[in-house]
Amino acid sequence: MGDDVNDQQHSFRFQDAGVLIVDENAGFMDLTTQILMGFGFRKFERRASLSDAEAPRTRFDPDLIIVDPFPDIEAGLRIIDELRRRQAASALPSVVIVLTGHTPRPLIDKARRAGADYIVAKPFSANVLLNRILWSASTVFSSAPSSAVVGDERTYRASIDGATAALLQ
Amino acid sequence: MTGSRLTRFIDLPDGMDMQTALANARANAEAYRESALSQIDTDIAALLAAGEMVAPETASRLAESIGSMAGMFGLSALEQSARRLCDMIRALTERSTWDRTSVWVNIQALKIIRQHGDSENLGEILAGLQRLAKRAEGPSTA
Repeated sequence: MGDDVNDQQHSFRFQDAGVLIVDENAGFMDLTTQILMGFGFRKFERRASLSDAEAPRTRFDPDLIIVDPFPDIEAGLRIIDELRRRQAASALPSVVIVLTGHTPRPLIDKARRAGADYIVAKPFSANVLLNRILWSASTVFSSAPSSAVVGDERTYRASIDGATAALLQ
Repeated sequence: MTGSRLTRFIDLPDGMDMQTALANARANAEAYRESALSQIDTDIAALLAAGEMVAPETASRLAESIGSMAGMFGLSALEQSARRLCDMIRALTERSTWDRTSVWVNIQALKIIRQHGDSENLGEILAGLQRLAKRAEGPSTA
């Protein structure tokens, strides 16, 4: 893939990076956590309910957000949209990855519009997830606030198409 | 904008390299295998306990969980069968033509496939599930 960052020799120290994981599948949330711990992440906030995640309970300010919007797609996308809205316009954006077993084209489009940087299909390999995290970390199109997205629809559509094409490869 | 909040953790001196990260992650995932298989068994048991009258939402949620987890650990036949059940439920729901017998056959097949694993000859069962899935999708519009 053209966006494969394996060609480059990245290194990272993620132990101080905060991760929010939202997944109603408790087993999968555990597995994803284990894989992320392998990458060096240590600070996790885990939410086992989409409705619970919609109401921020703490001041936890994640650098990486991983959300599976299944089974309530709308609630899952609202979480992403709300997190994006809460980000200060002048601040660097969090990386948002949708990690789900359901990847119909309409969901991909909606997730991108809500502010997801990438959609990764379950099941996934550790290699794919790490690549998508590193790719998204330096590709910040989705950091644009919603109003800016509307103002640059052509760029936005190109971004969606690019992410969709990459996902479907 | 030139980066994200994660950028500040990348390409630092003495950082973890990608090969080490992937090796760690794969080892952690492998250590989780037994828990994953246990969850798959629990989900299949829940589907069987729900019986023929299982609600579409419940069947969809459990089948999705089984398929995703099976795929993470290379259980291809189980993953494909669970995915097929998800597709069937979606098609039946969209067409408002719930077929509890077909769904139930798929659920029972998941148990058999889980018991026999990918190494067994499951061709006939998988072909039968494929036919059921095609029927659920309805007549081709091509």
